[in-house]
Amino acid sequence: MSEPWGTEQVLALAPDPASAAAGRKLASPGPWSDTGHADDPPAVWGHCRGSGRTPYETAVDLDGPAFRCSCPSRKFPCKHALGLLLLWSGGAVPAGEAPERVVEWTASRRQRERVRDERAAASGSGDGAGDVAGDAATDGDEPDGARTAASQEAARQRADRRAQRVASGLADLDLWLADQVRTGTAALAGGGYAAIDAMAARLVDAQAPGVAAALRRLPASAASGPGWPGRVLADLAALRLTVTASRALDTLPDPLAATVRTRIGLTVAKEDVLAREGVRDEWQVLALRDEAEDRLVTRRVWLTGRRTGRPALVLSFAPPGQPLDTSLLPGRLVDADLHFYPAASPLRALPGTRHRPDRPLTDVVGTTIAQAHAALAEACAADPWTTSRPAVVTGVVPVPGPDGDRWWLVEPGPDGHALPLTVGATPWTLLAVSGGAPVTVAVELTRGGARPLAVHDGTGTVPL
Amino acid sequence: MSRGPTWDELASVALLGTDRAGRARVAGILAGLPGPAGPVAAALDPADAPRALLDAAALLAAQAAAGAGPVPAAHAPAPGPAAPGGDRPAAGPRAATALRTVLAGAVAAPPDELLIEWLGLAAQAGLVVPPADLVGVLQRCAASAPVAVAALPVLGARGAWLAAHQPAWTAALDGARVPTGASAALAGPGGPSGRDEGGRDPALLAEAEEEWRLGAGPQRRLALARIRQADPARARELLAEGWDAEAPADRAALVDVLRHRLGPADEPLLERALDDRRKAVRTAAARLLTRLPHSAYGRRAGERALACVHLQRHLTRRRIAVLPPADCDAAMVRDGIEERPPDDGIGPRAWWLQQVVAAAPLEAWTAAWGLAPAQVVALPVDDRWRQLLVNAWAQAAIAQDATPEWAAALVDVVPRTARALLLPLLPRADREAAAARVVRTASLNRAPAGTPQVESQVTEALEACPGPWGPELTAAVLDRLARDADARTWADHQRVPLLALRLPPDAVTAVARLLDTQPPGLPWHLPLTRLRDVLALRHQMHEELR
Repeated sequence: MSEPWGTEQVLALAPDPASAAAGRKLASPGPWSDTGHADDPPAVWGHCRGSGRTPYETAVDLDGPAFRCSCPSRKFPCKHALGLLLLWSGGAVPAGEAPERVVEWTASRRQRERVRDERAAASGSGDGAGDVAGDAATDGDEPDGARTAASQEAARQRADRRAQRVASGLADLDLWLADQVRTGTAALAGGGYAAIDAMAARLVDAQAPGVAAALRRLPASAASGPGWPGRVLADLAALRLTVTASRALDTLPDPLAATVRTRIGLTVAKEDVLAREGVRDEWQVLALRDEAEDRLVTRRVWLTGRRTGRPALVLSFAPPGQPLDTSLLPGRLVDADLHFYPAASPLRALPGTRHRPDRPLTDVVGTTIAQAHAALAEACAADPWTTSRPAVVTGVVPVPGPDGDRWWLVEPGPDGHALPLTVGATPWTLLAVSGGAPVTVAVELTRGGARPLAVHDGTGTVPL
Repeated sequence: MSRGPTWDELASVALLGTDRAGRARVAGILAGLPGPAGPVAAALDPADAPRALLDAAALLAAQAAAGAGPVPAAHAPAPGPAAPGGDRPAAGPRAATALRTVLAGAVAAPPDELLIEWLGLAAQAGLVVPPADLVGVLQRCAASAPVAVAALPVLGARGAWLAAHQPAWTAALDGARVPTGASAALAGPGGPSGRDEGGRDPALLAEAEEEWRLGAGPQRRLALARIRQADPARARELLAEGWDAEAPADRAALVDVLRHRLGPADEPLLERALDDRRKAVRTAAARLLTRLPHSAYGRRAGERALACVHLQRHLTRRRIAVLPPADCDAAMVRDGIEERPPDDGIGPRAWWLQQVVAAAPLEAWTAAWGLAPAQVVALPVDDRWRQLLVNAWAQAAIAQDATPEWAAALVDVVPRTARALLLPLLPRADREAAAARVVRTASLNRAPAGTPQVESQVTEALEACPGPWGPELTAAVLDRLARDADARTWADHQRVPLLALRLPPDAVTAVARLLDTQPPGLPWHLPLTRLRDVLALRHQMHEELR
């Protein structure tokens, strides 16, 4: 009998907080009838009485997971599916034989998935047209069947054409950058954002979306208050570095070349990442954040390896209202292989084989501030574009800055170090959980200070 | 984050533009770049000044990022004292989940009331708020004084320590610690009376006396109320000392402060106030004196009333004979009787009679006639006077915080405006029984379905009964919920939030069963669903916080 999921795991499926709240309200037996759950197929089902005359038929395929409900909601999963899962998670759904409709639905899902997998395998990795979209991608546009020499030749030509377009886009960027510095960056703060947008659009056309995204962060730096000229210069210098590095791509060592390609926006196919050797560890899942941008919700999950001490970042994407990946939940210890994207200082990864069922994370292995700092410096040395790394620091006391100044994490004792938090971060819950005593804090180290992610109070993880 | 003076120099050249700064200045920077980046920068071509500057910046930024060391702890602000330990155990994870549901406002009920219920249950169970949820609770304390009062006992040492870091939280908890008497003393009749004896802090008292001496208007009245709460005699002394110097306009409000913790020792000052030239002051003093049955005023008022309303005994039969006052003399005016009747048609003699009866201590009747309150109220009386007497007695009962016997004798015969004020005087069981009678009587009124007057009687009766309701009232309310659609009124919908908070949580079973019988899609389905959801959450809270 498989374990029911935890409440957090279910709520992490919610497409937005309103759905989570609505799901909670439906998590009592009152409105439900004919509920049940089974292991084969792994599913939960039930009827939910709503405001309509006929009850809604709700079913969840736990393998996936996938959801089906006869309600008219456009949310996915809908509140009924969430409520049903919460009910199940609370132990209030009996085991039983899956009804015909559930068996048929799950079987046809499996069938469709098999077909899709086969076609995906047949069409190979494609040119990886953005792994962002690639996660939910339609099948490749190549015909089924083995690759012929001709199609390989065609692929090479496509790659060449793209390289040319990228090179020409970056050449334009180089001119643009030089112009900014020649005429003075003061113009940028004056609101010359239209020029930035136009340049960014040009780079997207040139199939260099990574550079375009970096360019679009420029207005934020220009508007970041006192000291902004330094931050704008740092952004411009990083862009110029991308341009020069892209011209020397063939001479760079492989990992650094991979980093440069990522900066440009040339993506690596998921299959290729998963084909790389995995790093097995007991991964501590530190924190999870969802951010909606450009009609896409990005879920970031930060991890550190218990044995290797390696940091990792797992990204997943979904359109708003669609479920996000829930395989890695904060406060869990995951014994698994992580496959890192090729990079000079690998951080982004994909989870691979799981070796053991997850366990709750009761104690967190971390480092001193000096060690965390050294790891960030090392990453910056290997990859000069590094902006952030997750880290776990132990034995630190949160100290609110006097008079609204920035907060600090301080190691007590004469030889201790201190870590400033990012400006504006006021993690009162961190202070509450610590009680002013040393605690273990998961942070994202950035050049502007540490961003608090979660605190461990000895029994569990409290998100910040 | 600064990357040193060279970086700042690069940034200012970039800000200005290399065209204006000049090639020589850029070349100068390139030649002087510190650290291992120096030789690399020196090899850059100053002729292409913009690109050379950007390359130098990239070198310097990478060098700074890769070479920076951690900040010694001495450079950061020093940690303050840690929270004292020894807190009671925190509420468990499931109780915390319920708390978070309440804090998130995920149910359709006034969230403050639910939060206050959670906090009260935790206090009873001897638990404190889990540290991870303290911020959410403190934010709500800052927004609502009743929440702060309820939270105070369950914040624990950790919560108090945390609150000290935020002025808004500190202020909210300080406000909750100030004795409730200050506000109670200023509340009208029926307001909360003396919840605690706190506030004896001498520093606070000295501060209040300072405000009393130097402040103005309402501030002085509040200061006096605080002193009254802590030390009634001191407040009386202060008021008596400066009485003649007080502005006539302030005196009525100041006398009213004595309402709180009123005692026989206040009588001389109140008698003095009866001689005031202002009617408002006399009325205020008289209102308080009626609450002192053994005062000279009480005796006067009792005798005056018994002179107008006699008990006649004829063999075994008893009845009340009424002889209204013939005129309104100076002594009556001094004791707060108004001479001029209001313009609502009441005659002057009836008007005087009503005031005379209302001013008399209720004890006067039972003592003089040797009867229980219920017997007094049940005595036969001329129909002309019956309603006037009942109203006057009700007024007296409300003004004098009458005994439960008096309230019980009057509650079913008085007009409904008075009933709502009498209900709180009854002991819980009697109050709920009275409310249940109102609910059931109104429910029988099938046609026309619930007139507005009847409906507001039901609402007022229910509002007068704090939750959780006992079985009798609960049953009456649930029966009413189950009425068929024709008999249901708008008021039933309006009352759902009240029911959600005051029905006992285990009523969730009955409501859920009721909901099952309701056809979905009809308007009644949604409010019932909300009711069930709130009750289910409260049920969970009660289960988890035993």
